[in-house]
Amino acid sequence: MFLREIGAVRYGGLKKVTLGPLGAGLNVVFGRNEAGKSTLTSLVRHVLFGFPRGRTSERLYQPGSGDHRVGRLVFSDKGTEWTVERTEGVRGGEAVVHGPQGVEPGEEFLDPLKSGVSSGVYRTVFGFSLEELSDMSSLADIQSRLYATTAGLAVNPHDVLERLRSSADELWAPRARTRKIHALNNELRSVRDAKRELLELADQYRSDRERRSVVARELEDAERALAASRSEEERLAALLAEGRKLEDRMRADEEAAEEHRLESERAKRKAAGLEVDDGLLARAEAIERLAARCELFRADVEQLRRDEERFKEADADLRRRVADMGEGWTVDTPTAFSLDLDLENRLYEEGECIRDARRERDDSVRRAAEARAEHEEALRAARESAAEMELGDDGMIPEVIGVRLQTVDRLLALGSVARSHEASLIPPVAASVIAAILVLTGFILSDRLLMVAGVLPALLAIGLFLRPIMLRRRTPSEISSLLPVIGLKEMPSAAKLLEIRNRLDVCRKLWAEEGQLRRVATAREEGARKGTEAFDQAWRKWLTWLDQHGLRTPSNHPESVRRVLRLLRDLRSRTEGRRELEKQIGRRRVLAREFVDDAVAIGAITENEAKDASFEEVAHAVRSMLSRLVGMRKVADERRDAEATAIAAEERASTEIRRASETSKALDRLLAKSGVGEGAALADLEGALAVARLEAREVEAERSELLERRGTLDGRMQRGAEESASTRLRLQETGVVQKISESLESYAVVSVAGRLLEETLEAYEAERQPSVIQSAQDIFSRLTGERYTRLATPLGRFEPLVSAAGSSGKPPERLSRATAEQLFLALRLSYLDNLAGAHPALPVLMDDILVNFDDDRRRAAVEVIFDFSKGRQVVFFTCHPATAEAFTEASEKLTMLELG
Amino acid sequence: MRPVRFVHAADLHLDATFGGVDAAQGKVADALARSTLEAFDRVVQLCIDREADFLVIAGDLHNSANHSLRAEFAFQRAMRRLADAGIGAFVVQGNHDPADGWSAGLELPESVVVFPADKVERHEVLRDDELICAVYGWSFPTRHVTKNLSRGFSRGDGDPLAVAVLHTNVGQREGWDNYAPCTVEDLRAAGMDYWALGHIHEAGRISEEPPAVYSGSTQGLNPTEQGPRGCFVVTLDSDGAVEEFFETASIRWRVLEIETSDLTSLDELRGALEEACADTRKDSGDRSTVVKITLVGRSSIHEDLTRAGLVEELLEDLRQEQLDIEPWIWLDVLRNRTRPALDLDEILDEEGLRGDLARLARDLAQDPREADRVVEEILAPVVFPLAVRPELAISGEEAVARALDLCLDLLSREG
Repeated sequence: MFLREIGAVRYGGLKKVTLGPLGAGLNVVFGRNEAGKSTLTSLVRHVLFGFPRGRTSERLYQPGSGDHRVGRLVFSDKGTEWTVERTEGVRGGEAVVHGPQGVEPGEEFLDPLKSGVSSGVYRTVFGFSLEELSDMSSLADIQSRLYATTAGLAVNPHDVLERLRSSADELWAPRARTRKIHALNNELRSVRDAKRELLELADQYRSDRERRSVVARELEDAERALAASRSEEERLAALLAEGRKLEDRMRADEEAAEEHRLESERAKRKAAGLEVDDGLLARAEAIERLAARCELFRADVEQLRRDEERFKEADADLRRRVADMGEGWTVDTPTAFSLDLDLENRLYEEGECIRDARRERDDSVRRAAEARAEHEEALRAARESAAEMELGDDGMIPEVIGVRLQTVDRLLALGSVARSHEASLIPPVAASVIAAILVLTGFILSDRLLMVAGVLPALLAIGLFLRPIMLRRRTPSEISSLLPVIGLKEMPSAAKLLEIRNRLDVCRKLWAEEGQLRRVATAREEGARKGTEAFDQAWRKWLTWLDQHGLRTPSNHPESVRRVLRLLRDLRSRTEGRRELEKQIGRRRVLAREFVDDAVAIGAITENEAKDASFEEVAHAVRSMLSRLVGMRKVADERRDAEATAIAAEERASTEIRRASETSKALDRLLAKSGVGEGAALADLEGALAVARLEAREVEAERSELLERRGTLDGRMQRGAEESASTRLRLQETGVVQKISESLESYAVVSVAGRLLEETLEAYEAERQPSVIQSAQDIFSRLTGERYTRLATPLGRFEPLVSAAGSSGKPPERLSRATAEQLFLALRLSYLDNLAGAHPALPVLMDDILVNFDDDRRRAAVEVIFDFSKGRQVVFFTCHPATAEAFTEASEKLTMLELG
Repeated sequence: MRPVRFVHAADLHLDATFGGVDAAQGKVADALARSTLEAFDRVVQLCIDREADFLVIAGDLHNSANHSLRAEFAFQRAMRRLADAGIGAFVVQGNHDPADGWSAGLELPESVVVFPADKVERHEVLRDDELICAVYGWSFPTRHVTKNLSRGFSRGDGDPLAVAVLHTNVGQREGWDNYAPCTVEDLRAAGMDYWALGHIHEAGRISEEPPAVYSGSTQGLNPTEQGPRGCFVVTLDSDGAVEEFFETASIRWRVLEIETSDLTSLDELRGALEEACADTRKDSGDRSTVVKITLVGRSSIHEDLTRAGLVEELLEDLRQEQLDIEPWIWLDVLRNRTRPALDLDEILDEEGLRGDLARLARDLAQDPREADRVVEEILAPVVFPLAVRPELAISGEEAVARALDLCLDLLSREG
């Protein structure tokens, strides 16, 4: 496969420009300046790898029209063509390929073509101009790739070596302080320092324990001394407190005795100033008793007033009700009535009889009226039916119906006979036909028996013909005689006769029903009359009973009589209530009078005053007297209390004086007991106590210091006993040592790896110049006409050195421009030769790269390029006729094209 | 007469320093810090529950170098408990708590016998005022005891039963300091009915005649001390001794290697790790476990695992998950020792740079002394200023192999 055609649909200044057909080997494209050589070189790369966009240093070749860029490449293989067309768009633009299988996604076709070659690599070594050829920096990448390729690797081993060195450096580096192993070492040191502190703490434990024993003994002594001091202090303090208490108590007793004496005198003076009414106090019990009845008396008087009011109202009400009962009724009349239970039962029974008789009468009258109404309705229906049939007056109607029914039945019978005769023509005809057949058959067959047999049907046919004619002659006269009976002049049809008969039948049933209802109505009217008579008889008996008991009322109805009876009972009850109230008023008046008499008796009111005083005034007088009595009692109590107080205060004063004397003696005994000396006072005891306290404080301070020392030792020992930090620190130390060990292992492995690779590379580069350099050296030697025969480079670094025979190596910058370009071309072509992974169809495009070469160099270059094109398609652009001519002279096996 | 019953414990290392663990998490650190004390509490409780006649402790009760008051107080409390229960205790001092070691000198109950360091001493055990057993012991006077102490033991004529307590390396077992070395024949010569031994942390009977038993450590102290740890309840009579093991450890240790050759993704790796944790939890019963995991094998996930921080993230995630489940598991280390999925033999035959590199590494690895020298030379300036001289688990040969893997891995990646 090779590139057959390059097409610029829209690309830079080119539009619908096609370059081709190209050949599989060397192609030389001659074109003047600005014909589009560089443009097409870029186009090939952009169609293969996508159109660049946005910020890039490379030229974009945007069409002036602002349209999208579109380019096309046609690849050919043994007559089959694939057209790859890419249109500018997102991610470099979409490529499509038109091939023998139709349209396919372009990348599927292009990816294997571009395998292992990036856009950058393509630009550097596949499609380059003179400018790119001389670009030193672009060669760095080539160099790296060259090295990897020639060493049979995908990566540059110097990169790997650098990486190993970097990995080792992360773990440890001489004179560094922050690498991983240094950090772990520092951590280990700090852990060990902390651990050492804890070890010291443990070591102190034993000596601390001994020191603690000494302190404990001293503390015991101090505790004993302190206890003794405190005991003395407490003894003296207790005695002093007791002494003070005694002194205080003695003073308090003396003061209290004086206070009691003064109190006694004040009480005596007070008692003398209080006067008491002994007479009033003597009547106290009677006054209190009567006063206690005051409230009851007041309630009784109020109740008496209310009873009197109620009596007045009841009396007036009773008199009004009696008057309502009618003349001759007095308030005593109701009580004269015998309203026993028997009368009431009798009244109920009589009333029930009247009610039953009245109900039976009313029921029979109602049923008679209903029966009569039903009869009237049936009679009306029967008459209407008779009128329709014109059956005459009521009295004869049933008989007329009977006659007419018989007439209709006869007419129906006659009509039936006539119709049957008209319908009998078929039998005689049939008989005639049979006779004719038999005779004819007998005649044809000459069979006399058959002919004779035909005579019999013939006779039958004659008979059948004659019978209706005979009957018809008799029927019309009878019908004519019957028609007037039913009011008709002509013989109606059988259906009409049947209708007349049905109507007559209905009329007959209506008259029969009317007769039935008439008999029922008559019977019920008889029942109603009897019911009325029975009620009248019961009513008369009822009135007689009322008269006997004086219970007649305007309506004499049982209900009204019962109401009168209830009124009577009510009146009697009210009369009795009024009498009872009257008796109660009398009793209350007696009680009130007794209260007034008692009030006079205790002197609350005089007899004369009592005569005119109301009950309320009497009660008020009793209560006033009670108040006076209460006041007098208070005065008497006060006087009694004052006298008692005076006596008690005198007694207490004596007691306090006695007690003060005893307390004074006890204080003397206490001071003697304290040991402060004969005849000492409390002040001496206070002095002794102050001295004891001072001693105790000194011992206490000594003890506190010992306690503190013991606490310090205990705390330290406790911390040592309970500490678990050392365990954790030892664990941590183990972990850090483990990490250091692992890091050292890693460092050893990485460093050994670095050494191995470094040694290998040194030997490799010294002993085996990579084939790509060897190949480049050969090409360079050819290009320079064997002027320079050696090319060498430590390819881990890009420092190519060229040397002529017997001279030292020169770097590219010390070569002439043309020689340097020869070197770069040699390196590229060598790289392309050794690039095993690149697809052979990937073309190499060179854009006028020989312009700086003189004729010899150009010729040599043309030959080298021609040889190269035997392995890979080359498209060489030039605007120089001499260059084109040089190619033509070198070989005829090339494709020469002209552009523009 | 009822046989003599006693509890044989040794190497309690109360409040000991744990080796090779990075217990950064508080819960784990606390549990580890408590674990030796809890184990001792279980020993004491066992004495009480089983109504033991006495307790013997065959050395290394605690690490005197730690100056741990906490340990001494814990011992004092435990001895008081035993005394209250009427159970005596016989203690010899070992290389970690020799007689000349640091001690806070706490008072112990009279029922506790700490054997002297200058000679074998005999003590009688009475039951109802009747002698039922004699206990012999000899403490380490100092840490480094190279003398054969067992030769000082000799059974008394009137002993109904005789128990000897000694801290020793019988048979000079490798991997353990050769302190107070002796042989089974030495033990046999003493005529004891039971040798209660300490020093070797692996429990087990080393001799049938006489019965000589290491009870092992009561709590595993570092990743090498995997499996159940505890003490023995010994029933002894004239017919011989019967030991019954009782696990006392709060925390178990487990070291796992997970082969990653067949794993194709990190999800699968995580699944394998979770499965390993589930198996560990199942094995350890109701005990918590400290686990160290090393990922090994040439695997396609090697490249993922070498991404910066990935293994640490995976470890942190799993740690949290496993800590939240009871009994918890502390994933102490997740060490990535996977190797790139490369055919080293093929690379050794290559002509290119990789081939040269592989051959150079192979040549170096074939000379372990030189490989060690290279590693020492590299580490010398690094280790010199350090506060510690850690014991490296990596040999020169291994360092070269891992270095080659690292180089090949980086060189084989896409640029």
